[in-house]
Amino acid sequence: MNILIVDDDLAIREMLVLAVMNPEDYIEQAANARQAITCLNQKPFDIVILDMGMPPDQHTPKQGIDVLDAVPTSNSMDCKVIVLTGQDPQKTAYQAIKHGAFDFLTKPIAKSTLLQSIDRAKLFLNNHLLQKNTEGVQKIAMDVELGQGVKSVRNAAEKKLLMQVLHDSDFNVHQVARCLGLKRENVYYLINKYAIERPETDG
Amino acid sequence: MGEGIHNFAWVAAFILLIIGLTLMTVLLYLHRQSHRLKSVLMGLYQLNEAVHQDVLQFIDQAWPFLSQAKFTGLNGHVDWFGEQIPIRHGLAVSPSQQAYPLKLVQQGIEVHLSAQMGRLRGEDQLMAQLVWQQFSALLSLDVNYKISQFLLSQKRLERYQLFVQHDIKNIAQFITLLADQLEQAQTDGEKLATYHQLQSIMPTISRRATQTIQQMTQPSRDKQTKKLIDVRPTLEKIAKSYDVSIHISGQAKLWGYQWAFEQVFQRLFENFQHHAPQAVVDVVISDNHQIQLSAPADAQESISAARMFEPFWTTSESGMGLGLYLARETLKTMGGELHFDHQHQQNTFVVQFAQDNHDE
Repeated sequence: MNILIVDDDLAIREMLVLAVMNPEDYIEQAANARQAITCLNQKPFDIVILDMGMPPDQHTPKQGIDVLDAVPTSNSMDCKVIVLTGQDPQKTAYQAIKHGAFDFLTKPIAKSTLLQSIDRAKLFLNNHLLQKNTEGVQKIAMDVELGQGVKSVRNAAEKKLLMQVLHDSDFNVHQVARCLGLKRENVYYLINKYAIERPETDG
Repeated sequence: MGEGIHNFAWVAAFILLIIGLTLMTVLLYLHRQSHRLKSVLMGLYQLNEAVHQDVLQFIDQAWPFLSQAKFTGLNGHVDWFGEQIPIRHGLAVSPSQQAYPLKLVQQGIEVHLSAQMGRLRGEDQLMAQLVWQQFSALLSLDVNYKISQFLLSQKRLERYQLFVQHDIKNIAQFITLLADQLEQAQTDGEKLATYHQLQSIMPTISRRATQTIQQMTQPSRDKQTKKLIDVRPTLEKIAKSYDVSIHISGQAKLWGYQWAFEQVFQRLFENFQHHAPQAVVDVVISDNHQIQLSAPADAQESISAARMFEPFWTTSESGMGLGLYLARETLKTMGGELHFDHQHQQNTFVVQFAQDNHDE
């Protein structure tokens, strides 16, 4: 698994690396939201451990929310984000879950708690992958505004599914068409309709 | 006939004289009354200034001015953050007297007063009303000022606690993870890996702990001694601890207090961290004990240079609004100065140190 650890505090970041270190996992670090978003676009991470309060807004969850919002359109759109925070846990938890966090832990957290959360995330990821590969079922999650009719919901689901499949196939339109049971022209039409761009990657 | 005209002239002159004298008397009387009114109103205003807008002292010392306006009593009570304070000046409340009530209620402060006077008429009544209006207006301003000061102090304290809590929680997090790691390191290999990791981490956490303590305490200056400070590596170290990228030119050594020097630049780099996190700060060390720190300004950010050093004023959610103020005050103790300049989309802090005979 690819794990990204995001925390502005170097000492805590290093301790988190030490805590989650595992020969089977690849671990990378980011010191701020900007670096984290760059990493998420360059490589498909599976798990992100994210500190919500980082400079220049270390007393608000703004930087963490920016990272959460960047995940769905990044190269790591399937990743599970485990959020860490020390300030106003209740309010931060609500915002974190609202922006797509998988789990929420309040500092100071014990190593065992963190490892349990990572294990849960891995379990969910593996089961999703199993379901996709064996049953051909793709899970998508989205926020829907009630009372606005269903057309927008249909469009949002369509876009989300398309982005997911494009990501999984590394933007191979032919493969996407086959996977979705569409013609290639339809896939191009949908890419243009939703203005989907291929994320930039390294190399 | 001539005698008749002569007599008429004398009578007319006499009448005019009486009228003139009457007018003069009235004017003098009105002048005296207006002077008396002015004196009382100014007296109330100056009293309020003298007691520094303190509510209780103002009420306590305003009575002589009110009695000059022919009030016979001032009675009531003040509910002062849960404490009842009775107010008794002059005569007690009487139903035969004319009453002027006053009620002010604001978060934690309640003022219930009633001023009495005899049955006055004409300009005396008018004067009393004007004086009472002035007294009420000043008292209302004082109460509002007190509440706003109280709320501001409360907000500052909460903000301070927020900052200290954040740092302490991070330190606590480090210790928790460290304790878990040490407990689980069983083999020699694991212990060695933990040791090597700690070797690189400990300086950072130690610096963090020191900064946190510095925020909460004032170092004893008696115990500090001046030393020769190598400016360039010190600035590089501070910038790195705040994750601020710098381009530094020049070098110098200054004679001064290490803690004060570091504190000044910690606050400046922290300011850059908050307001220009992506920018590369250009640091120029000059021979004349001057250090300039510049970074491009955000086009959207409007700079209020006049308020930069105002305590508890900040445009950043991450700041307490004390950093630049404290930096400047700290520099003053060293005989130095700190200025800010905003020109051509560049924000520049100019730190000028005083010349010391020991400097190189």
